[in-house]
Amino acid sequence: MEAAMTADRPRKATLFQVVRMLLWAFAGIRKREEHDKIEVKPVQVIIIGIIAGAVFVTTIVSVVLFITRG
Amino acid sequence: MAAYGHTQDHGHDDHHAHKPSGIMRWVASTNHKDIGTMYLWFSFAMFLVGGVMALIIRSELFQPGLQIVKPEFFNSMTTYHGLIMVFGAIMPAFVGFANWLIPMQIGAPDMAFPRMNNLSFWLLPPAALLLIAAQFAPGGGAGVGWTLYAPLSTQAGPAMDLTIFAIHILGMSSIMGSINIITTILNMRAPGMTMMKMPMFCWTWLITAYLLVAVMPVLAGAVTMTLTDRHFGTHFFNAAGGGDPVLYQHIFWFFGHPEVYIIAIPAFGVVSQVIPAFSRKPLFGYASMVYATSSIAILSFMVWAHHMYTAGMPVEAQLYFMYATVLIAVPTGVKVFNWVATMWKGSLTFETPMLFALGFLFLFTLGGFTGLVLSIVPVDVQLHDTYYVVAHFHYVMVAGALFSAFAGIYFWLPKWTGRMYNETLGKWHFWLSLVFFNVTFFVQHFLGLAGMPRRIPDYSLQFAEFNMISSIGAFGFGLSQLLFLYIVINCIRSGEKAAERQWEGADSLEWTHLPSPAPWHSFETPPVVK
Repeated sequence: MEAAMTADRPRKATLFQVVRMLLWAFAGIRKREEHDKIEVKPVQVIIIGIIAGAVFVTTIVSVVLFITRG
Repeated sequence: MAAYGHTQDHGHDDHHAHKPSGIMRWVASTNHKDIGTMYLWFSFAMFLVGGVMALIIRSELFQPGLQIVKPEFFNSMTTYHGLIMVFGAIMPAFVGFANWLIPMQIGAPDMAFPRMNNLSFWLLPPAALLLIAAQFAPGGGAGVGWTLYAPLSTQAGPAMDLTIFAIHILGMSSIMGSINIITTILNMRAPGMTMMKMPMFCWTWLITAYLLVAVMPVLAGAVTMTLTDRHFGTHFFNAAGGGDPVLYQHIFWFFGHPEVYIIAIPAFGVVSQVIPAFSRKPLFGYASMVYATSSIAILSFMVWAHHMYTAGMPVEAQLYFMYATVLIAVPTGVKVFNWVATMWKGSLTFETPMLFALGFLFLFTLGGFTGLVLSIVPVDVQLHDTYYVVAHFHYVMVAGALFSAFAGIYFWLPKWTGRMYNETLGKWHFWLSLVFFNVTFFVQHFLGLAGMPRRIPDYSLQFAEFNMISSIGAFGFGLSQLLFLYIVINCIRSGEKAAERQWEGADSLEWTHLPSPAPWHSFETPPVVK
């Protein structure tokens, strides 16, 4: 890990936190405090955003296939 | 909100304002403020040209039967009204705002690529001339609709080639403008101006610029394939040669749906500056607004085929696009709630910018709701290509984007010109626009529900009354915009001196750190943002 990190800087977000943040973001909601507490790298947001987008599409397609089955 | 330190010495800036004089100041301009001004005047000129085309359409539709124009010319008017308003009026207007405001709001001296900025603007007039020249091509303008669907567009006359070339040029201009905006925002922010401290307007333009870079090449591809189908023996959209005209629709709408957001998102940005300023409260849920806007941008790529439910697609695809479209309303709804919550318990005042922002909020929401109605497949099958659709997208484009542009112009005119507009006349402009807009377009919902198709010069007798009302409204709306022109010119020539911080609730850098009018060169030394 980077040695430059100091105590007062926000700690790095865990994978779970980024995923949770992105799922809320799809609904357009995010806690303001959360922004100050955790540090999220843009790369994390983009990669998990793309995965979440793919999951979003796949979920809808699955629902559609379930409905039109038979 | 962010607190700003280090008030800039205004005399210092004025000292460096050696403006070149004469026409070369504008032709060779690399100054973001001058280029922004040119964008705004250009878009207003195009707004008038497109507006006259709209009035020709509404004149013909005043009564049933063919009165004033020939059907081919009518089709050409519907086509170029759409193209000119979308690519010539609304998009350049918001690029004008971006040029003026982004460097000032992030504390940068200018855009990242000033010469490319000049080229971005000066590509627009030739493109506009091509669109207007197309009217005089053999056979007249291409009456293919603004969507330029094949096979009509592959069969149209030479005007189509001029139109395709114009779209290529406009696309180049947009892409260069977007690269400039992205680079400026990512690299030229003042010390301490972190991304999450940027005014919402900068965020919305950053997201829009990415959308533009992503989809303008798609449109260019679609019209290039049309061009090669027309002249170079390809068969992309020709079923007889193994192609498919529906392919054109898919490619066009893969551009076209994000395009809706390219127009709407900067409008959201303007409203997100105006409403907090006149509520004297920071924007409610700033972080969530940033994320909601990003989500809307991403999701806008996944819903394109809701424009083509009737073109023929499997029921599975219809259901997918319906569900996805309905879900996209969620982040948009969150934004509307955030604006309302921003006003909650605020010290509200209702100057002209706020009135237009509220008009936006109310009517854009209505346009969003009719969009939801249209997203439902069985309903859309009934309403597709009727006046209901025309009413829906004019609520989004006019009451959404145009009202927000008016809000922004009244809001920033004091900063741009150093003078105040006439508040009474501004309010008249708002109320006249609001009333006549609704007279024009609200009745079109009824026409559509009753089954009147769009893009027709003549119609059955049962549609006569509502069409007459709509045409009267259109002329009222058009004339009201001449009042706007008068207000702006009057402001520039003889308005009262504006204060440095004309709106005490406005707290972005251009209000807190720069005099009115903003000096020709600003922030040569970046401010320090705490």
